[in-house]
Amino acid sequence: MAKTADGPILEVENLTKYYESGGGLVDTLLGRSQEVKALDGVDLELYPGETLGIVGESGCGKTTLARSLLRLIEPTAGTVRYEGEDLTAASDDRLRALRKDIQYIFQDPFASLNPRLTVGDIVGEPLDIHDIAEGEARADRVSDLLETVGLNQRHAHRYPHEFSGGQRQRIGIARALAVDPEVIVCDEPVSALDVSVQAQILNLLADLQSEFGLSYIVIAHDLSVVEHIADRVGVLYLGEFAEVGPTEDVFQPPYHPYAEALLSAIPEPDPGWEGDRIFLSGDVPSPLNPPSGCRFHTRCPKVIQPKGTDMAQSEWRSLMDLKQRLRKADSLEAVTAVREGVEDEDLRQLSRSALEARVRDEFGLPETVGDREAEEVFGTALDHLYDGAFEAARTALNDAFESPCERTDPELFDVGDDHRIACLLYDDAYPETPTRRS
Amino acid sequence: MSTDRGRIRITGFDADRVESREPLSDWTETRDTETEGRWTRAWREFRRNRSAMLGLYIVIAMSLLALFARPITIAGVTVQPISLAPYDPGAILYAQGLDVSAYEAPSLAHPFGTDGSARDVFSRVLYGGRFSLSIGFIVVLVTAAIGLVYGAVAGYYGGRVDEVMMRLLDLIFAFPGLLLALIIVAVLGKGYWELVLAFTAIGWAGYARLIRGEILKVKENEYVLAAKALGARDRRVIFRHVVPNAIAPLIVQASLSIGTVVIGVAALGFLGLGLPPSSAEWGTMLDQTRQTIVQGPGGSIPWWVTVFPGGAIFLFVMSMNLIGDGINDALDAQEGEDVARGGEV
Repeated sequence: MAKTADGPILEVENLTKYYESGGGLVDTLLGRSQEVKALDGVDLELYPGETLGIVGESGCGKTTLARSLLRLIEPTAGTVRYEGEDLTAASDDRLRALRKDIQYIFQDPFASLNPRLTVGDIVGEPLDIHDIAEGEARADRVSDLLETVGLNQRHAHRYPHEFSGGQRQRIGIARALAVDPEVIVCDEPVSALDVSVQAQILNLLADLQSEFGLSYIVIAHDLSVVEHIADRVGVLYLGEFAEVGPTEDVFQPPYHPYAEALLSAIPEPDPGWEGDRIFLSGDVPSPLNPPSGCRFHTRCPKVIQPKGTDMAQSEWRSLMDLKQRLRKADSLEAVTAVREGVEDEDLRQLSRSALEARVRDEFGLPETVGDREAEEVFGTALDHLYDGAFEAARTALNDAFESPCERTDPELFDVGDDHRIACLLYDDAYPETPTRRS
Repeated sequence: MSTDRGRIRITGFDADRVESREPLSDWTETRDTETEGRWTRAWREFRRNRSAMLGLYIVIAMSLLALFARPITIAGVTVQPISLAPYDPGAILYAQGLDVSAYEAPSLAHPFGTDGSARDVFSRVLYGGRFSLSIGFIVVLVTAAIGLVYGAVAGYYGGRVDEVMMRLLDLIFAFPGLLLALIIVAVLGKGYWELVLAFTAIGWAGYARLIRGEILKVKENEYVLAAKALGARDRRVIFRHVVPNAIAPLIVQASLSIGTVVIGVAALGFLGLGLPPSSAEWGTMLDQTRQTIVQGPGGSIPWWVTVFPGGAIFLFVMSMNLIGDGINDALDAQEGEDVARGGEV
């Protein structure tokens, strides 16, 4: 189901959610509270009958996005338009009515069903809330719904704890279907399930889509799930989209470097396969203080070299790592390789050359860096480190090694039909970057 | 060797084959038994608990005895004609021309003896159950209901609402409970409904705090969010999804505190601040005869005037505690089954 001629059924603009972090009253008064930027200006459209997959690693804002869409979490800024009507401005009563059109399937089928209610009451609850059916009609509708999702109507009198994970997820789906919605937001609908059951649930979702003409937004961290079910995919990184496009396009070059790394991590059953996994350096940065410029630049294997610098990409990445590590470091332990079996070593006793070897070892730098100027800067920085002047070392590295990625926040650049990537590599201002050519 | 993905394809997952394979379990429709509800299961669990059942029987027996002790007349119509108590609990027997003196030892005619005013202690103990038991049940019912709603609202809405409501609660906790009740009775005067009011005023705070804590925990569950996503109003979310999952400790607490209230009523009675001195309430009876504990007329101690009302209090409170423990165990055991989730150990 590709994009139809109709306008989008759901249109999200600049959706933003900041959480207040820490901060009791005292912290707020002293201005010490910080904001966790869980979601930072996300735009998306969902067209009738399509499935939009959203992938990303944990903590990148997937669930926040899903819940903000329905205002289960109040977004900080931005608009969500359902058939042209702004949900974020809707009154409570109007919002309740709109819940008939937009439904939600939860990740954990064990936590999302009230253990005190029978399945019939759980599935029938939306009917009661919206006065859709009563008495006989309600019972009929409940058994219809249970049959639709592949359960027996006899199950209506049972309690959730008597069901397996897959069955419970079916109950959750039946509950969402009860109000006859147009859009269903599925938050990791299968991640809590057994692999063998995942396929059943995904197929059920696909069947229901064609039967009822539903539109899905499917959140997942599993790329194979998304590949299976989604028409279009959005790759989320630290609360921003890194890449958006039709599924086939996202799963093929050109890639956003982050999407490329994610794709390389999909397990491949072929023993003859010798593709390389791309390992990202470092951890996901804290959303409390996301990196400047492109949010992925702290880990990006293809981080752009400044004009006039020309060295192997891996060496450049290593130098960037050294620079970033040094920003937070105030001891030599942080930037040197650990010798196995040696404890409480006093690194300040090392000679200049030994220290250099250890630093090169830690960051995988060769004997000499490919670029002469860079080698000189590295030498100067090491001199400062040897003298214990961390601040000077920091300045030396910061001045010399600054990637354009740190300065410029890339917008989503068009790279194909409806395929957009937020990476400076695809900006025409950087046509001669080495990775572009490869 | 290749770097292309997808050269190996897994097949055989077609639905037809899966449906026709061997069943994984021997479950069949015909073996299907009806599901037990939560309360059915709890009741079955409770019935297995012998001491709790003993407590329940004693409480039922005492309630029936109190109910049938004297006839009950409502608006001139006798609705309950049976009279188990041989004498009117308030009647001073020698004034009625009977051959009875004060402090007569237990005998066949007066199984529990007579008190200082020559009233039949057996009749008084039977009849006195009406005061103690009914105050206990009414107070607990009212306090638990108030506490439930108050705590549920505070816990569910949280934030500033919670802050204000809980500070109000601290105000009540700032006073020692019985002392506050004593002050209220002293201000309002003695009487049945004054006692109920006094114990209600101090009693609900504990329930409110208990249920608030539970609700803070329960409202984080995803099914609460699920109900909101369905468009449920707050009232429905609170009373259909949050409260039923948070109420078990409240029920246990309520059953245990019926005994506490009865003791409290008796204590006020003993301090002379309960019901009017002549009434047959157990604590008041103890108060009226407390000087005899030390020494009665003629050096002998008429033990029966204190032992029987005191024993009645003891028996009732102990039975209530047995029941409370039984309910606790029954609900707890069931929680265990419910909380255990697949995939979690």
